[in-house]
Amino acid sequence: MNLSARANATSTESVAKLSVRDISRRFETRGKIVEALKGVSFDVPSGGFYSIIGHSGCGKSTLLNIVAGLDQATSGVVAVDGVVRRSPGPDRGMVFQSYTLFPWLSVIENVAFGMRMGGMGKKERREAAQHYVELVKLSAFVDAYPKELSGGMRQRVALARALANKPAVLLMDEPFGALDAETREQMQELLLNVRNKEFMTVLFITHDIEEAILLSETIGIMAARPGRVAHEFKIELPYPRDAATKVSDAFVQNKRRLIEVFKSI
Amino acid sequence: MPTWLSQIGRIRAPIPAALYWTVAAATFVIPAAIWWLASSSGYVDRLFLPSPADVAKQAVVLAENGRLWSDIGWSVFRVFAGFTLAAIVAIPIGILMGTYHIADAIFEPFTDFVRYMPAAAFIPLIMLYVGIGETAKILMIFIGTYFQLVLLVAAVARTVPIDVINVAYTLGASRRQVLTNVVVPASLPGLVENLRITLGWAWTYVIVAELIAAQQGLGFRIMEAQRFLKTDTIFLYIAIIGLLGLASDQIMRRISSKTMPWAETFDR
Ligand SMILES: Nc1ncnc2c1ncn2[C@@H]1O[C@H](COP(=O)(O)OP(=O)(O)O)[C@@H](O)[C@H]1O
Ligand SMILES: [Mg+2]
Repeated sequence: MNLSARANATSTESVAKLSVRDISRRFETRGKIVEALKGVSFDVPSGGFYSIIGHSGCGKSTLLNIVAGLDQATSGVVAVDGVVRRSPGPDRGMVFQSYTLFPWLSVIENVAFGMRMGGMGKKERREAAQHYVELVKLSAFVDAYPKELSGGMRQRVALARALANKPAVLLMDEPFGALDAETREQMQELLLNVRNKEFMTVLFITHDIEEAILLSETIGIMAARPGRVAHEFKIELPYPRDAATKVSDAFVQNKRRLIEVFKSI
Repeated sequence: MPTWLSQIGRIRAPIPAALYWTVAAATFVIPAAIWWLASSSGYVDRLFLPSPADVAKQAVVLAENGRLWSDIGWSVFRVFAGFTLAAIVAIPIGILMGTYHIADAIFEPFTDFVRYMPAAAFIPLIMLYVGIGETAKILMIFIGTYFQLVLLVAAVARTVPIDVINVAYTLGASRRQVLTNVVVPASLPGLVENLRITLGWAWTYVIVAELIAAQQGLGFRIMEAQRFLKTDTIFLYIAIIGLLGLASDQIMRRISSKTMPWAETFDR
């Protein structure tokens, strides 16, 4: 199915990079039915940064897994560039909250993994991977194994590995959730920095309101039981942003408004 | 109080290498000293407890006439052949069991059933079917180790984190690629660790097989020595089996740390 026809009929905008349409997901465990998601719809434009925030257990990971093709929706569709996607593919790169580096591969080999799976030659993919290792500021660790890296460094490699595959959409499920507060702030700045240099479209999940405001253009606020996007919230803060953005008046105003909306759901 | 002393009782805290190896050496030296004292005290019959010197003398005799080396050679060969065969079959099947539920359904319940049958009970059948040649001994080791090993390998493959598998899919890997490029390498350290443990069982079963039907080998010689009341030979051979086990264990550890420098290890 091609969604562009429908998109053209309802709006004058060009087709979104990522379209999520009316996604529902029911789980049946021991005879009990859990409606994890119901009628979730949103669009992420090309080059956009869309964050989903919501309380723990409201269905954020379930949603992201469906977008990635790792889980199947009970109903509804996910489309990338107007083409419906049901199974996982390199067009939707993912960074998980848990550490998912391949321990038997060095940093550079981890980053080059997707290219190797795609059949790219050794020299070529190493050169390409080098760029992404530099992008996440890990040039000094190209040949290190994951066990030699800190948590923050591991997530930087995971980011580089996802980006090196040039995904149409980058999916991130609370990627900094397991890190300490200081490292998390460094990672947020790094991600802003990377986004200044590389063109990317991001769907980001977090339960940290400040993180969502700092990084996003649009925030989808999820309500629970059943999980749904209850509100969309535009962040009117100019880029480039950095850690200092967090103490600006505009940031604080955004935060106040967002907290109000967040409380009301 | 020296710092190493306070380290001893702390859970998983490393201790100095010198301390580690001193304690390890003492666990060999102390029993040997007790043995020497007991045998030279005169309270225990020489026939039941030969002295370390008697055993050493016997070692020299058997080494010089070559019998020791040929016995070691035969037993090592049988362990190697039987265990390699078990590993070659158990590793792929175990990985499939830990990866696909259908493979689990095919192999797991049946393996669980067979694994509780004492391997030694198969000896009469083995002798009936394949005689008492080398095949019988290798088959004995195979039966003794395969059914344990395959379940251990399956358990290892099952511990590969699902997020690690999923991230490979999102990087464009096909199912086949995920199996060969993710599940297999991710299982390697656990797999080698379990090979190391089951290799010990292979040593048990080679002796069992040789006690019953063999003309040479460590187990056979122990049986023969019993007939002639040569307790010094029995002592010698039991110690040698222990040493060979220890040596193969160390070789496996060495291979494992050399070929997999990336693996997380328990620090000494
Ligand atoms: N595989 C599953 N089987 C049954 N219920 C599930 C499964 N995965 C998630 N759920 C349920 O769906 C809801 C949303 O979970 P999740 O998407 O992990 O939330 P979040 O990521 O927002 O914390 C929870 O109530 C959870 O118990
Ligand atoms: Mg989650």
